[in-house]
Amino acid sequence: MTALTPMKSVLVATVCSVALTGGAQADLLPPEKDLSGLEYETIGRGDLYDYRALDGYSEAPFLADMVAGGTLPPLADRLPEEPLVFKTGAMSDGIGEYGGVFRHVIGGRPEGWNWLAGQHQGWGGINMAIQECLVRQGPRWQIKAEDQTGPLPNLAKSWSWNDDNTQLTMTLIKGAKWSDGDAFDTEDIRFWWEDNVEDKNVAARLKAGSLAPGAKLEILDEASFRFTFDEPQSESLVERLAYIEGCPGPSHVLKPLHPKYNSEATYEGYTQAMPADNLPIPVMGAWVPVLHKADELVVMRRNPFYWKVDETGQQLPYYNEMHFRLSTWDDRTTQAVAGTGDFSNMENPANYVAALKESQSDDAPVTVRFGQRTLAWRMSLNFSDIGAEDDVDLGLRDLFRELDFRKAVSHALDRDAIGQAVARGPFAHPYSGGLVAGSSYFDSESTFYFPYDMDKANALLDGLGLKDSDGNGIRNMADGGADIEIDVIFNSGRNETRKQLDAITSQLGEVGIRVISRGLDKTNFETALHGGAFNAVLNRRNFPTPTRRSCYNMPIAGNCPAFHQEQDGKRDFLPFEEDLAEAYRTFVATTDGAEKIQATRDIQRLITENVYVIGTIQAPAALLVNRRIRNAHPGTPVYMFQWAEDAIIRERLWTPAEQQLDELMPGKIAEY
Amino acid sequence: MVDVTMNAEAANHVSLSYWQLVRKRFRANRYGMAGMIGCLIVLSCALFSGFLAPYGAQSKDKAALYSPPQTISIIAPEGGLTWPFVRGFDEEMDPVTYEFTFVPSDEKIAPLRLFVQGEPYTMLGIEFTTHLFGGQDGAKVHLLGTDGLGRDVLSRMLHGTKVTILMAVMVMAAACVIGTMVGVSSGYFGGTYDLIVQRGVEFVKSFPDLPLYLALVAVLPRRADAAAIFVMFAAILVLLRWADLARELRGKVVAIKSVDFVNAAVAVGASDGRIIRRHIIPNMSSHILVWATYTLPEIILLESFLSFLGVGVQLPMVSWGSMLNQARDIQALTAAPWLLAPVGMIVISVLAFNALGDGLRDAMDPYSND
Amino acid sequence: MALLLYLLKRILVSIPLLIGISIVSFALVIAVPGDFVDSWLSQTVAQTGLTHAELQDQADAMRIKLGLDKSLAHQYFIWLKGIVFSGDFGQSFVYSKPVTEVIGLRLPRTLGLALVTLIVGQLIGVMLGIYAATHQYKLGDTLATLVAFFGIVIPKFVMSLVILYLMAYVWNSSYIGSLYSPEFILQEHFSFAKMWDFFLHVWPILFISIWAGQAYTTRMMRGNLLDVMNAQYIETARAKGLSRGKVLFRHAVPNALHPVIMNMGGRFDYMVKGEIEIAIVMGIPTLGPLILSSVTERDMYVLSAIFLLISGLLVVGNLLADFALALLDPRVRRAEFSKG
Repeated sequence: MTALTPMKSVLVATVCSVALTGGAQADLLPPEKDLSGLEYETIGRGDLYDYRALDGYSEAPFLADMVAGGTLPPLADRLPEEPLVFKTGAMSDGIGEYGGVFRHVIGGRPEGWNWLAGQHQGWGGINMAIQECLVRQGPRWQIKAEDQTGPLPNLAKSWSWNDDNTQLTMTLIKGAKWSDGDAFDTEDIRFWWEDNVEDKNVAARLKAGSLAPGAKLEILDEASFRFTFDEPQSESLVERLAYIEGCPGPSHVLKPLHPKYNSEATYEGYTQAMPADNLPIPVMGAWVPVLHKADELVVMRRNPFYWKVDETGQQLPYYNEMHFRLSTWDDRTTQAVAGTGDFSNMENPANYVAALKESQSDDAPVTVRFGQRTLAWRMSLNFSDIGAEDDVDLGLRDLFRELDFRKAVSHALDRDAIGQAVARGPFAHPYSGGLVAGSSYFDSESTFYFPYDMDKANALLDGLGLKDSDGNGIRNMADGGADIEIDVIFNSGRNETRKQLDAITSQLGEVGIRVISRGLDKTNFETALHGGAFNAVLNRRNFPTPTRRSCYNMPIAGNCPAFHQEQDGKRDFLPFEEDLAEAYRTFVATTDGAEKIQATRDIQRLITENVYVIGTIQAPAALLVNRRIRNAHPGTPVYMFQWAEDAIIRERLWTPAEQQLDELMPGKIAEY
Repeated sequence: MVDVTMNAEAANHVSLSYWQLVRKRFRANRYGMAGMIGCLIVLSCALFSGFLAPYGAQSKDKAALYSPPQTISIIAPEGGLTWPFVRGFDEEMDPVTYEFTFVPSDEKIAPLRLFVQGEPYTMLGIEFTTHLFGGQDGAKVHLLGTDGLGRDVLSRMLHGTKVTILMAVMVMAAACVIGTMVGVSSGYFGGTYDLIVQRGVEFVKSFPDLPLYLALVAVLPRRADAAAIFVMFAAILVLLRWADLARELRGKVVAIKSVDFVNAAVAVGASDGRIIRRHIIPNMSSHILVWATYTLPEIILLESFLSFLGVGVQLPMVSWGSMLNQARDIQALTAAPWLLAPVGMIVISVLAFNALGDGLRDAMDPYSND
Repeated sequence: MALLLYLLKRILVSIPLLIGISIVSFALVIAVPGDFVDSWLSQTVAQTGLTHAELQDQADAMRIKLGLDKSLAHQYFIWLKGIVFSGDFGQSFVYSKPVTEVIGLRLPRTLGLALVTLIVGQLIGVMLGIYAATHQYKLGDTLATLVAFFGIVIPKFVMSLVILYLMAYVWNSSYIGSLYSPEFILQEHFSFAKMWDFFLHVWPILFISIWAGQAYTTRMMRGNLLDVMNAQYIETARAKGLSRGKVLFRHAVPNALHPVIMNMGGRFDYMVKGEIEIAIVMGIPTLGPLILSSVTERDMYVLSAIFLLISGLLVVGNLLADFALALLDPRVRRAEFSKG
């Protein structure tokens, strides 16, 4: 045989690799065009902030007046020994000026202020504003891949493991105080753990026994404590101590209302101990809620005891006041565009162009910042028999379990058309399942894709014996059975999902599969989805990192994923599902960076090559931020490790004095 | 038109029956005739949609998504008159806002042709392929633009006429009959019957509709037949609509049942049925007509809302109401306002029906001066 | 005396109606899959990243606490008992507050808006109807008819979206999505500035509702007036030498007003439900959006209470309308109160 020329050897290699993959003929997902148009650098873990004492500190002018008047203790007494210091290098607009208002709009309503007992305050950033937690996840998006070892410190300024990883010792910041002046120390941690987490009668966010089997807490001194576990754990466990599970509450206020310390108290009363109308309450966050007008507004004022400063010693936050207008989530976007709200996620691609156009004019109040593509939609076919009402359903489920059928459906979908139907323009990109293109864990080499090809789709369906035996244009099940009609449920409140389903119905109709679109209202939909009793579902499920939204995407527990749940404790895994679960377990357990990356690749390959879900499109989300806001770092994702409200670090945001808005309660702080 | 010839001739003049009079008066009423012609046009749209529409209801033109309506011009680019044609579009995307603009291009001229061969369609069970008009050599013509999937809006509107008109007329007629029967009988017979029936009317009127619709969505069988769903929700629409008419008619009946000519009829010994038929209902006719023209668009819009919730018209059927659901967000409204074309169709149909009704009312009016 | 008896009879017969409506509301909410705890679960999962499994115990406990684990009949009777014996309409699951408070907060403004819509809408409708009838088949009639029709035919969600777009994207208006600007939210007492601020926020609702609301009245008024104007007693009045205007307003219009008044009684439920589409699109917190959100989140007691309120308003409204009619129209008076 003559020596192969380089060209021929490439050809041979390609042929061989195709042959090796068993003629899978799977394409790779074409590369996406990044819309964010951003170049930003990732930074090291220590570049965001650290903890040290500075030579001098300063505070907001009206606070200084209060100190001079004797109504407030001096700043040095209010700050901890080593406050958290934000580094100027990581601030996109540098050191800020004091003053002004930041206006949120949210769609939730405060249940009550006792977050230890599982009450929420309305979501949309209000929970996160008042609940400071042991560690922090949000700002991790900016950190380089090599430094992604785990969460960032927050109230816990450092921690360490013992040799066999069965003990985790954490150190709190020393000398910090609650917003009413009471000391923040390990007593708050003890109360949180023993009387809320471990107390089964309290609906704490962190459930007893869920951190790790046999976890025990031991207080070492007023600033450090230790967890002991029965088995070795990994750094991923520390992630559980971030928002919303690891946020201690004011023990000095709550202890007297807890049944363990007060024989007349009840657990019911304890949960309602801090009702929504009763303000102010002590917090560790940058602002303290001082006013709540039901269905209208929550006003929060600066916390004079806040324990974070900037590098020049100015005590944070820069904003004196924060508003939460109580409205609807849709209205949040509208108000951001109109300029009456300062912050919003924009997740409906249909509004992108209108918002972009709006933001172009010189006096537009808002900037539109696209992030990476992190929103992903997919159609999931049910692999279990749960909720199958008749033989036709059972037949459909068997069909869904055939890889060729799923490939055929994927080939029948014209994802470009679907994307254009949702939002005209370059926003949508095909999605084939697995991690989204905007994820820092995304690997294009492992992402397989079965593109639009009607011939292939028809060939595969013919190959499965699905012919149109009654000539009505719809294929029938094998042996001349019923028409293949797939009822697909979706949340009828989501217009972009509806548009996709219209397109899908039309496209699948062309290969002889009839889709019946069934829109259900939100609660009905979520119940059906969670119960696993559906044939097919089209919904949006983001998959930004392997440990986020994992239950939606991988079979890691009996009721995950929703489209293949256990029935009476039994589940018939598809050939690759075991491997998928194993890859996930590897990712969580290992601390070796290379192993983690390989596990991620395996996850991606297994999901996409086997068409675990039939992805449709992925699109970027955008952040709408008011023009006058400074230090809103470009590139902040809507959701990566946590929602953008956390990732954007609101205590660092500021507005130049001439653009500051009037405060509703100037000069006021919370009076307890 | 008063006949002032002499008595002798007048005696030979055949006297017209009431309905003949009505017909004569109606024909003289231009407004009503215009209305009738309008209604006939709408009806023929429904019957001959396959022929009139250049494309099918689900045919997609992949090269034209959300494209605007094309204007027919007869002035050639070089100048001078020519056979009517439309211009295709060049699409440009603004690099900053990603907004698409459509610029008519002189390179993409598509002359119109009559009686072109196109997609097959069935009418009365026979398959045809001739369409009234289309582009030359299969070039695409979208006189009212396209939607997000590239489907021709004009064609869909024409095809949707069938479903919409059928449903709207059916529902209105049924609600009309039920409402009239209940309202008139309730007002006429009065007493405890009236008391109870009116509470029934109030029950229907205050019925929790939104939960009902959602409950319907929930109980729908998985693979329900499209036609069955259609009939079911038409029934629901009827059941929720007759109450308004019933109450209003009842009030009117109460007012006139003690009027002279009714008392006279009673004195003469006319049966209740006869009184209702010959005396009461004709006096309600104008009210019923107004209610009917008002209810027609309400039903169509309600159908739009129900389709949005999922209990209305399902694919592959298309109706004006379901077409409107495509325009439910700001992008659609600002970027593709032609998606609201069905509103225009609704306006035309309702105006036509209303003119017809007005003409009829005038023709039937026993007191008008001619 | 006959009047009081009549009144009593009406009220007595209305009670089963109210009970029936409340049962139906309850039953319908329970008929749809999912209850409040499911809604709470999905919200919490989405916001916190915790899984269903982790929240399961909490969810079960919540179900028991809220009584959602009991049968429909049981839950209903507990609720009914509360209403009858203690005036307690239950708790809102979503707001953790008594239902009366939640509804009570939104009711005044909703009724206020609805009343304005009703009065202004009916006035405009009547005037337009008179105008159209007196200019039958002329330009004036056509224009009035068109205005009326566009009020009905253009979907309210389209009108709301257009206004929303203009306010948010084009005018950058700061009066969106709430009832008051923040400075007035804090102001407890009434002031004209506050009322004007309120108006600046809610004018789209008024505008669209009035336009849509006058349509029926315009058409009805026109039709009735045309009927009446051809009647013999009108001819007589003209023959007597009365001016057109006097004939119109003293004889024709009062007779034509009859069905309009009848119809107004039925508008009371519209007061509460009517602007639901508009308020939802514009994000304004009146009762309409509350209906929608309580249905989607299965906030049962709020929903049932609202529909109870609606049917109550309807009963009252119809009663008032019937009385008004009897006052106005002697024929009705005779018919209603002489026969049994």
